[in-house]
Amino acid sequence: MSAVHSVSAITTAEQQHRIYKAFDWIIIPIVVLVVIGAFHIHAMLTIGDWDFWIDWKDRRWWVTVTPISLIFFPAALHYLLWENFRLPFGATLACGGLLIGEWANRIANFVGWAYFPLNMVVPGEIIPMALCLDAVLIISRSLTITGVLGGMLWGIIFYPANWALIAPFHVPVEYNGVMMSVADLIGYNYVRTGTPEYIRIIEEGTLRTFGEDVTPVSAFFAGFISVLAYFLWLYIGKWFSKTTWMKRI
Amino acid sequence: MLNFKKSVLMLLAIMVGCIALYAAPAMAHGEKSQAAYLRMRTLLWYDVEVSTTKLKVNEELVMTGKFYWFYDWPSNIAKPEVAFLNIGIPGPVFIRKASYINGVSGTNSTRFDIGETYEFKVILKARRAARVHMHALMNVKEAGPLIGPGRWVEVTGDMADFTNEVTTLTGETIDLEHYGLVNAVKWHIFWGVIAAAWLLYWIFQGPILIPRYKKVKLLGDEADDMITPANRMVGLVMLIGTIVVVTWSYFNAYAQYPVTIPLQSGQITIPALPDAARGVNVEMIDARYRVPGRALEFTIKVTNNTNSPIKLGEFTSANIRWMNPEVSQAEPADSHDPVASNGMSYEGGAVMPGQTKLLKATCTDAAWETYRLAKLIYDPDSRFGGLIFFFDEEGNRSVVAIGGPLLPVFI
Repeated sequence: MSAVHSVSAITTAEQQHRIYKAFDWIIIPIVVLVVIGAFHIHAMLTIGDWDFWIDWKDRRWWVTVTPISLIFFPAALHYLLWENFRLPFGATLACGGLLIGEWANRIANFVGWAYFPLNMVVPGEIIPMALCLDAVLIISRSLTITGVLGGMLWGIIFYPANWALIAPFHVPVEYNGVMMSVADLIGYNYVRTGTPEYIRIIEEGTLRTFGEDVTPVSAFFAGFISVLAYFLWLYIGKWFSKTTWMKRI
Repeated sequence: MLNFKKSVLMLLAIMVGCIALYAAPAMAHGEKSQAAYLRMRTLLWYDVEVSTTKLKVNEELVMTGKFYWFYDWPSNIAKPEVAFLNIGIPGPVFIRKASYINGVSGTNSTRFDIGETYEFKVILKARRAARVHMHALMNVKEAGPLIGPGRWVEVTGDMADFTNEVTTLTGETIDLEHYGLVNAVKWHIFWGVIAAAWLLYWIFQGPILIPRYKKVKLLGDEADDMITPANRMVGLVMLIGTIVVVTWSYFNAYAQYPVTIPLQSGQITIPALPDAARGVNVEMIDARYRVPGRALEFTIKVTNNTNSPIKLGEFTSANIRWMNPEVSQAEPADSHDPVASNGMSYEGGAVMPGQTKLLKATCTDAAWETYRLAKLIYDPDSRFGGLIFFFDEEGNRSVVAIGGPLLPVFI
């Protein structure tokens, strides 16, 4: 009996190649779906309204919260894919998956069910950050360098990458004797019963800013914390990618 | 023998069918759900009217009314230091064209004073066809939504005809329904294509999971050599390209939109209306809720400092009205408008100018039960509150808040 077990069903290199390819086609779609679901839930719970609404995308809190919160999954996937496969696309896989989930959610739920206009609920752009993080990893071939340089770049590049999308919504409008941005006006026009104006956590002005512009300070802070969060989540990725029970492949 | 797959499919179909049959459209906004003492002693709405209950897409509806912040505010509810006048509707059936509190624009959150009265006006423009129960609503920070009276409103027409045009301070006329969408989608597609190319670059290098896993384990510390110089060059091009495109898009957007402002977040304080009591003073003497008769009975000492005799015409609380038809008449606006047209009576007659007099009033109606106000006697804070309306012979109205402990009478 033991002799029977030691004989593999794969006898040729071509068969082996076919089996490996089939394994890819089974596993990769499952991983993509799991990443879409898990990362999307994470984003909705930790960023939520900041990413849902155009009148929440401010230059202080949105800029700070989003990169810090979103680096978790890319970091964990970086560990999993780099340490086990030397594949450098963990960040792009995570962020691309998240955007697929977000677009599906915005179109089906926010527009299809609740009838909000789509321009009010367009998700933030996060692919450039992911591309940079992956690029630093493949160039440096080091998770440490990726954490320090890539993490900082991840935080800094978020606002400039989104300005092309949100700038039109920051054009001023005079409305009923009050000056508002177009985004504010959209938030006021399109009634949200459970999301009153005061619930927005956006910049309210402070003495502690460099000149008038708070964005660079927020972006650098987001980058700094993203660096720390990257390393924390590398360890969580390590914990989740153990192969304790796989003795041989 | 049962086929397993067919059985599972049948069970699923039955489950979905049951859910579909059971699920009913939401017809209310929780106006009965809060504890009675909260509804009676927080925000008291009155004179709420809508200009029309049937309109077409693009037509306007005006909702007006008054609200009074009850003087005996429950200590466990946050005070209205920051509040926002809102509308309770299922999604943007309407857009809010304008809202005013005492004539001041209500675009920003506002601070209100306890014990004061304010009037409001909300102008809405119909956006999509629907039949909705629409409420006046006040969101209070750390307290939640305080819901006002509701009205059934029906909108007909086609949402495709709806437009929401404004002119910016830079002179551009835009439609907020679609403004900026094409640009945002364009950028998402652009970056999405780059991301897809990067992922496919790796995925289509043949089987990548098992062979690469085995190779990583085999090479150990030398596994980094699996990344070829060509791979790194692709990474370098991608990094530089991403930074260049982001930088260009940033400055290009600034060139396209040279005048921009941050999101606005100011808050305002609006002065209250003059005292609506107009010289009528009321002191609560005694209040009881008669359980078998579903009736609130209260005795009040009324001092009339006006120049005319006054009579008690109405008691309102928790958006329910008990009318004394001999003095003031009102009928329900629709099937869900709780107006007890004959719900109030009182003993004591008119209060003459300068006179102080005891009046004993009774407010009876099934609404005490159907609107769950009778549960007040089981609340942790069994105090009630409401507004009483006095009328003189010329129809002038004095509105006075009353409240105090409520004793139940079970037999």
